[in-house]
Amino acid sequence: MSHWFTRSQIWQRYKVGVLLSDFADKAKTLLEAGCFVYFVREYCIEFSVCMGPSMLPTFNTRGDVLLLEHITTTWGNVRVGDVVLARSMQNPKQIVCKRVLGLEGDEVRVAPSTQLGEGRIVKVPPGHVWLQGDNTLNSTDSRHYGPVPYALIKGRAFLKVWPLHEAGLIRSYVPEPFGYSSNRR
Amino acid sequence: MQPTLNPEPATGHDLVLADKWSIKLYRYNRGDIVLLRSPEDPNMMLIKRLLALEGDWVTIPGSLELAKIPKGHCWVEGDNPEFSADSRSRFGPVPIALIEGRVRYILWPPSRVGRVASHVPAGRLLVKNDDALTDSSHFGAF
Repeated sequence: MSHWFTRSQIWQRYKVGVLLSDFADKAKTLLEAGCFVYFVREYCIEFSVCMGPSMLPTFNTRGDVLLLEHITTTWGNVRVGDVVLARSMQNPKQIVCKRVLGLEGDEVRVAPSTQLGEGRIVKVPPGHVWLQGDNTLNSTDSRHYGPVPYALIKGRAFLKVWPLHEAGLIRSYVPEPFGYSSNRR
Repeated sequence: MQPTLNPEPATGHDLVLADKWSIKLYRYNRGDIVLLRSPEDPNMMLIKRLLALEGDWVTIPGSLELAKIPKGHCWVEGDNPEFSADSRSRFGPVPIALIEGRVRYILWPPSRVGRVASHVPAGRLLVKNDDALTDSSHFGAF
């Protein structure tokens, strides 16, 4: 027994097919865009906010918007003086923003203070870095919890985006032991 | 991690399935097998058993010492104490943020396909900090 579709039935089916393929096309584009955004955020560049008083002369307390790049960190090219964002040693949910002041094998001098006790010299063990905030008086950093594993570094902050009047490249430098000269642009 | 994983290394390595999503949601328990980055080498991944979380006290076998786990850290150990570079033999407590996945299933070899059991060796955990973040501190289940 044979069955014949009427002309309108064929037309109907054709239209549904067109709709479906159109939908598939859109879904594919969306998926591709999602993959692209994920790739860029995870491996290239990401926006981030740095809050708190620990980086005070360089960044404000209220929260500065930074651009973060992952290329330097994935290739292991972080240098002394770079500003990095790292996952906190004390709270896995938190991300801290600090300056790298020592790489593996370096010897770092911790100045004596009332909080930390006597001054000491620490050798940074392999696979670790020494992170310290620019605001030495109000920063919880490697001086408190010791060297930080390199794997915790998320990325290097290289550009300040907000506030607009301070926007610009973030300078990489090692602060002098007593106060700073001008480092704000 | 013998005898849990690779019980006979001569016959080849085990293939396991790790769940990264539950770590993103901070869901882990004492006794889980976890995948973490080595604190000594950022390019190396380790598979160890998570023994203790922040605020816990662990005993160290073969010595009278105790270790207190500082804030934000955990204690990881291999199941085979003789051949394991872990918190006990090398690096002490490691930051929880280094954990990247929770090993849930063995996929290969076919004879041992199945779920990986989670357990804490008896007598190791001396004091358990109930405030530490674990799977049960989250409300409901995903």
